[in-house]
Amino acid sequence: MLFNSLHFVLLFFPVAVAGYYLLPHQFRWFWLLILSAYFYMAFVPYYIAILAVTILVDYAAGIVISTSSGTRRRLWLILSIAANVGILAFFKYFAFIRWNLLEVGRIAGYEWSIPALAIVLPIGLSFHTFQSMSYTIEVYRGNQSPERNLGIFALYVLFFPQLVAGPIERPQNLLHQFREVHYFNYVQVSRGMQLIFWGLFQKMVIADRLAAIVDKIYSHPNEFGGLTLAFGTVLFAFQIFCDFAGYSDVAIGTAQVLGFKLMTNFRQPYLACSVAEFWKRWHISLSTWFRDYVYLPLGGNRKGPARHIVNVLIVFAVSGLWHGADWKFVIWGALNGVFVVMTGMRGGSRDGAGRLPVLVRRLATFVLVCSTWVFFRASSVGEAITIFKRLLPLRADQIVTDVGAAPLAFALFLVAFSVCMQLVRENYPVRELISCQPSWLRWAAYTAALSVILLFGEFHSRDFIYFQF
Amino acid sequence: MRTLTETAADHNAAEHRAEWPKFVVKAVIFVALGLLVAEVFWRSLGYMPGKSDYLHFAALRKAADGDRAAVALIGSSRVRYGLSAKSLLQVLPGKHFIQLGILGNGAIPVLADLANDANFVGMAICEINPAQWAEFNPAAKQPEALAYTRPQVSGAYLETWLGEHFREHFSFFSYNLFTELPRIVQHKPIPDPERPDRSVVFHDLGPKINQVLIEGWLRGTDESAARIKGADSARTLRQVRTFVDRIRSRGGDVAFVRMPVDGVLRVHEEKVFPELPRQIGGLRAAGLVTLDFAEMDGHFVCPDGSHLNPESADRFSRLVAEELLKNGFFK
Repeated sequence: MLFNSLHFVLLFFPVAVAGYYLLPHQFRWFWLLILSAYFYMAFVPYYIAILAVTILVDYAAGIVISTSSGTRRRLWLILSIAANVGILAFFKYFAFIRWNLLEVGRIAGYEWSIPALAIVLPIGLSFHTFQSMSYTIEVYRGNQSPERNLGIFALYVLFFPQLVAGPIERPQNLLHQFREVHYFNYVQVSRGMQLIFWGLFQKMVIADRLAAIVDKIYSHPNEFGGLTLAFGTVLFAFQIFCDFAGYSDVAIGTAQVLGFKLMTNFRQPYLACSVAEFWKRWHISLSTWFRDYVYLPLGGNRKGPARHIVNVLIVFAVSGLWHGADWKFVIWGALNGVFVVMTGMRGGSRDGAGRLPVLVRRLATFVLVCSTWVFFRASSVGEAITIFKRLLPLRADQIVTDVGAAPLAFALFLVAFSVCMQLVRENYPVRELISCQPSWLRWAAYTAALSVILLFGEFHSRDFIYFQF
Repeated sequence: MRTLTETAADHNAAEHRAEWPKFVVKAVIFVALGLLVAEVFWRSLGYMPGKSDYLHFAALRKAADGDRAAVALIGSSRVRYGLSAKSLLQVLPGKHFIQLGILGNGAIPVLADLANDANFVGMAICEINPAQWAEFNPAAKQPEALAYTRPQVSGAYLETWLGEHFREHFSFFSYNLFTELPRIVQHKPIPDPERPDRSVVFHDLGPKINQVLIEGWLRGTDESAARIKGADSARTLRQVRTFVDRIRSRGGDVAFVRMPVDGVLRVHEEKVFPELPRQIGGLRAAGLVTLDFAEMDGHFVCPDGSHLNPESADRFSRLVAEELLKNGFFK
């Protein structure tokens, strides 16, 4: 079920919220569990079995890890991680691994015989696998006591607001919230609703509108000139931001309406002054996951500068692979790693770049990030290289013909609007400012915002980009 | 226990419960007002709710049940553009032609649906398309329009059901100010949401756009050819014969038609799908009436290579009707 679907907006969400607050506290977790299973099964029902395996393995592992010590404890952690990674590898990476083995065999002159399996990737597999893994790791580290109630643990993995595209929560933040009593709180509910509306606006009005132009340009990059391709890439940068940040806002807002607090996932990423800072603002729940469970265990920056660079590159390459089973994602991740090493590890304001005006640093960072998005959006590495080759010369006369005057104007307006909103959110406590206004003004503004979504929004429920991961 | 999200003012649970009705009333007014503003806006400009093709398809499909005069036209977009129910009716009055073509989909899933439905007692004119025939997999997901004709317990069905009914009742669901603003500013006519018989008329947008379309079809043909390489089209032929036998057992029949293609696309299709003459031969050898546009008189114009223009669609439809009459298909 998509957040921008009628099914969610008109049926699921109102029923979920009403049922949640009407039920006595002791039944609420069960209500949320049923809702979450229904939410997931609305996509492909039988994929819930994969989640059930993950839940059972990690539930058992958590308990055994907490009651054992030494090698046995370590062994159970390894078993749990292997099971999670194994599921991920089979469903997400089998075809990729097979293709690579066949290519290696071909180059080496061997004829391998690896059967092709028609595996469809379960929606959001990478997200809930990572969330489940963080539980066993935290139990192993002693930061989280094991959850003995299988239902509540299942809810931790399945919790519908963040089930298919995060934010990837830690057990310390989420698990205890399922046991707490949440009263209907007008302020929290209305703030949650504000976030939901803002998220839907970003998705339906900005992201899906830009998507139409981006798809057109990226479906046949050979037919467009350099400026059009560059423009398409900039639009994609805003499309993916509004798509994913929009999803995260709806997820966080939905949870907030129910009384839960999820972690922030985006903090105005395109206002970052370096690529390193960009990654502290973009998909924060994943960045911190990799920091805590991959980068720091590898040694972080504690083992000398050379090892630090290697660790950063490893983390970003793996992060790229997490996004998709394709070399283009690995290159996308590795490129980000290279840029982080180049721009983020040189002492911030002490180096030359630090003396440049903020606007110049932000623009330079944006250009670097956009150059990596080419690999992310292109259909293959080869196509990404073709796009880079066609970028020059940048001829201004083609873009109006390629895109059309009206779509071009709308797209520029949407991009400018998104930038302005990021600037406003960066500098002002927007939600506090809204809550200070008189009631009639707030409700008039909400009605106007809803009308804008209804007039300008895309209603043909386009999938969220990050669902595929 | 107090939650992390509570503020200092949130102590009293009873007080919180009392806030419920206030919030619900405000939310309902807010949503109703928003919907009203959007709907009134579009209607004031003359825009009316759109027409749901799924609902239309389902209604036509249901109308075919129990109707011995029903002749279902099944196939891809080529059938929707190229077989006009109106033109067919002029040659064969008394028949009830039902346009069940689905854009982007082959004929066989609909043929299978008609064959497996005991209530369908009519006839069918079915498109032959080598790519879509070789790709047919009875276990695969049905085309959405067809799947929608039977209620299912699934999230996807519910979403489609809601969406299609919204489309039929609310203008804001079918139109978008981004795309419509140029039309509004330039005072251009508002699109007509009428739906006479699901046949689609090809609008020729000129050689430049047609060239882009032709290139797209050529690419699509290559992709299809690569996908079906090694597929067992003889198996599909056997399945098709089973479907025809079921329809015949209820007094109906099925005729097959190869829809016109034009120019480089025709040359390319004949090159990459060499099994096409064998498929046509196989159908004829099985005693099934099979028409091939290439054997008909005249040239049929497809401006984009793949879809007939209105004049050719009318001529082709009449010719198909005459050929079927000549072949004794409607005896």
